[in-house]
This record gives sequence, structure tokens and C-alpha cells, in this order.
Amino acid sequence: MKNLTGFKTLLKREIARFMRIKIQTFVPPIMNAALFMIIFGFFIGPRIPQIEGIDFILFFIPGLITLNMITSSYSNSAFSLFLMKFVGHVSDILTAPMSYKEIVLGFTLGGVIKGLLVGILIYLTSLLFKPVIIFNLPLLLFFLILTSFVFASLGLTVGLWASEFEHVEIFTIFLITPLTFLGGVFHSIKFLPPILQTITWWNPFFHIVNGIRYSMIGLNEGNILIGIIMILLLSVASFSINLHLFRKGYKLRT
Amino acid sequence: MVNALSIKGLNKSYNGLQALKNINLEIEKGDFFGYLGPNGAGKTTTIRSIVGLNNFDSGSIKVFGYDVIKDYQKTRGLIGLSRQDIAFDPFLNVRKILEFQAGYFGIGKKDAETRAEELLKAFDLKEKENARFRELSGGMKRRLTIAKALVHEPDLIILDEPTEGTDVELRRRLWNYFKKINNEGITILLTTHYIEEAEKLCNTIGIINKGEMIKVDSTENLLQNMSNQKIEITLNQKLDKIPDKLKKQIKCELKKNGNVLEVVCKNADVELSKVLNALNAQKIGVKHVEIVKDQLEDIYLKITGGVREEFDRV
Ligand SMILES: Nc1ncnc2c1ncn2[C@@H]1O[C@H](COP(=O)(O)OP(=O)(O)O)[C@@H](O)[C@H]1O
Ligand SMILES: [Mg+2]
Repeated sequence: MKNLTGFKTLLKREIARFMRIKIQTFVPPIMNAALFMIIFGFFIGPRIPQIEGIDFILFFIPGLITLNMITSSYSNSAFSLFLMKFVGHVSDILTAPMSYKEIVLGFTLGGVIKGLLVGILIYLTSLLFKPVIIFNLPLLLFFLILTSFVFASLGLTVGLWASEFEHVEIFTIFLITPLTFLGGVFHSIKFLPPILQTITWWNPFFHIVNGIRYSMIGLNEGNILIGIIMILLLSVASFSINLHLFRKGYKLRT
Repeated sequence: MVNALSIKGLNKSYNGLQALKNINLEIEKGDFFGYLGPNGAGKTTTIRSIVGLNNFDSGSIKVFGYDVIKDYQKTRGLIGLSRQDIAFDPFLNVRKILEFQAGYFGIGKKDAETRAEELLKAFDLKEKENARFRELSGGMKRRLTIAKALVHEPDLIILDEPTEGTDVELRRRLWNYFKKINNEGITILLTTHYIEEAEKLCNTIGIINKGEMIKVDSTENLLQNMSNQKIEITLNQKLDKIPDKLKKQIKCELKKNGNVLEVVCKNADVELSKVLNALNAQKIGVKHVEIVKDQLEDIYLKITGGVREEFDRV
């Protein structure tokens, strides 16, 4: 049984939620990115040697977009669901005639849209500092959409599991932020000693940052195919986990 | 004809605490069913099992013949739920709360707007349509909760303590509204611990206590068969003992209390003339006669073994 209207309503609600707190949603990532571009791009960047003939600022803009997009889509679905549980109106969704697939997709796509908006806004901001001509737009969209999807899904899982606000932050602090930074948002893998290069290869965030960087500016430091396969697998896996948890009523049904 | 609700052998425990013990319940289409029981009896747990907010250990629940687990989308579409705990989406105003609720139930934008408008008027919330729910009074919140349950015109409406914390005026209005929609053919399951509410509104009453369904019967039968009626006859004289002849003629329990003779029976109206005739034959003068009928409350207390103080009266 399909309830497309139900799904669309939930998605609309998710969008309405972050649009109601526009400033809180969009200003911090843009400010943050703009500051990075000013300080590292203009003040420090010229002192850093080019990477494969590319200015430092150009190198880290894709990284900045990835970092902010990941945190935005993650925190959107995590906090949205957590708050719903906290306030108690999650039961409106749970007692409506929506399939679990529709519920999970509604929440997840809300996070995807927020992540994409943040990514696009940062890209537009970066044009003020360094005009970037997109190298491969379809591939870029593929990476941006699926990366947002994976992290919106992770956010949903954490939102489900969390019983305190702190639980949501823990993942950002100890998982997402360090692994994205170490995945090469600001540095080239070539800067690292061989052993760290090998370790970085096993950091999934590296392949995400690299995929987005390649499709944006054409610089490839890894293997794009691995990135594509990995992000596809992560998307399917994270969605399936959430579907399973919602179906079981994990932390939703007593 | 398939029943609106059919619960068979429902068991539910919360880490060791058995909250529902083999609950069986059939509610016919169009019935106004009162689910009566003291706090903690298991009413909300039963409801949460019906709507899918609880997992249950064993048993089956069917709504209009559809299984609540196998056909969960179908059954959820048929049910309108007004939860005991009030909770609304803090990101939406009153009107949007109703419109989004309609959307979740698959109702398109145009119809959702029309329906929201109708309900805002019916529940006197039109003035507050742009308010956030935090700005509403307790009574308004309760009205909004009930309006929300009706947005998709459900066939079975479940009202979990809908009048808890309402004032007399609102309670009367809600009662009238419930009666009205029930008369239109909608099946209602109402939980309450106010006896008067069940007595006034419901055609059928189920009494639950400590997770066990103790009695299900029509309100009428419950009042008639379950109740003991009592004829209190004040005599002109004190009786040393109840005369044997009287005991033989009257098949009811007889008690004496000073110069008052108490006749405990099922149907006082029928027994009265017999008793008076018998007394007359014994030449015992009668000063005053009074018939005392048990209220549902007394029956309820008898069944649940509760004490009167525990219960709120309306
Ligand atoms: N989420 C829960 N976890 C543990 N115990 C619960 C939970 N919900 C209800 N109970 C217990 O189950 C019993 C029935 O509660 P409930 O169904 O809410 O009763 P009622 O609605 O009749 O007042 C009570 O003993 C209550 O404490
Ligand atoms: Mg209750």
C-alpha cells in the first residue's frame, strides 16, 4: 500500500522545520566556510606550495563543502527524530498509515535536501573568493546526493538510538569531524608518510572527499571507482538498517 | 458482520511486569464502548497495542477484520487516535497541525485544508488557528488532540481519557460531540476512570483491573444484573429476629438493623409488594419504605475491589 501524500507531507514537514530556523541552519556553515576561505585562502594559502599545480584555496573548497554537507545532513535527521521522540509527537507519524519505507525516506530525504542546500550555498560563497568551474557535474551531483543520503541515514539511526541530546553530538565530535578532517579536507594525502597514506586509504571519508574534489576540480588522489562503489554500498546499507529498525520499532515502540 | 475491533488473547509485559493478561475484547461496529478501569489498569497499554505504539507478547488484534501487524497501514488508516498524553509538533501552528495530520493520512492539500477548517470551527479553535500550541489553554490542547484524531474521518475512534483535566462545561460539550459522531455510525472506544462518563455515554462497558478484563457487558445489563438492589423498610417495631415465615416467603437475603429490615434482591420493584404482603400477614407495621439501587460506581468498586476514595467523581 502506498501513501505518497503521507511521505510528501513528512518531507514537507522536515523542510519546514529547518526553514523555520533558517539562520541557525544556513548562516553558521556559510560563515564558517567564508572564514576558512579568507584566512586559509588569502592569508595563509599563498605561503603554501601549490598541490599538483592547484592553489590551496581551490584544493580545500571541495573539502569544506563535503565537511559542512555531511554535518548538516547528519544533524538534521538526528535532531529532528530525537526531538520528535523527546516531545512525543513522533507517535503521529507512527500511527499514520505510512509504510516504514515512506517514513524512513521522508526523514532521510529531509536531511539530504538540507545537506545539498548547505553545499550549494557554500559553493556560491566560494565563487566570491575563487571561481571554480565544475569539472564533472553529473558525477558531482551523484557524490553530493549520496553522501548526504548516507549521513542523513546515519543521523536517523543515531536520533533513534539517542536518549539524550549529548548522544547526537558524540558522533559529530568523535566520528564525523575527525574522520573528515583526516580524510583530507585540508591536506593532500601526498603530504603524509607512507604508513599514514595507507591508513587514510581505509578511511571512507577520504574516498568521499576525493570523489567530490575530483568531480569539482578534476584532481584525483585516490580511486574514483572505489569511491562510487563505497558510497553506493553505504547508501543501501544505511537505508536498510534504518528500515529494519523502524520496522522492529527499535526505541519507538515499548 | 465483522467487528470494529477484535482482540484475542492479548498479553503484554514490560520487563517482567505483566501489564495485560489474556485480554479478549469484541467491539461491534457502531458501538460506543467504555473501557473503564483505575489508573495503571492497562487501558493505555491496550490502546497502544492496537495502534502500533506497543509491541505485544502474544495474541491478535483485528480492526474491521484487518490484522494490526500484517495490514498495519490499512488498520492505522481506519483508526483515529486521541492520545492521553498531549503532544504536538512544535514547528507547526494549530491549523498546520491539523493539515499535516491529514497529509500523513494521505489526504491531499485541498481536502486537508477544508477538513482543517471544519474542525477548527467544530472545536472552537478558529480564533487560535495561527497560534502555536504552547499558547493554548489546557482545554484547547485537549480539543486540538481530539480534532486531530478526527481529521481523516476514521471509522473507529479511540479516545484515551479525552476528558481528563477538562472543566464541567467542556466535558459536557465533548460528551455531546462524541454522542453525535457515534450516532452518525462511528464506532468509539473511550477509556476513562470516570464512572459517570462511561455510564452516560457508553452502550457497552468493559472493566479492566490489574491487566485483566473483569467484565464486559452492555451498560444496561451491567447496571441491572450486577447490581444488588436493596429495599429498606423501617418498621413500627424492633424485631428480635426475622420471623421464619417471612424468610420462607421471601427468597431474598434479609437483614435486620434495629427497626430497619433490609431486603437485598435483584429486582426491588418486583419484590416490594411480596415483602409488604408478607409483613402485613405477620401484622408487622411499616413506617417507611425506601429502595436503594447500586450505582455503577458501586458495582465497579465491587469488581475492582477498590476503595471509593481512589476514584475521581466527575
Ligand atoms: N513504557 C512503560 N514501561 C514500563 N511500564 C509501563 C509502561 N507503560 C505502562 N507501564 C505500566 O503498565 C501498567 C498499565 O499502564 P497503563 O496501560 O498506562 O494503564 P492505564 O492507562 O489503565 O492507566 C502500569 O503498571 C504501568 O506502570
Ligand atoms: Mg492511561
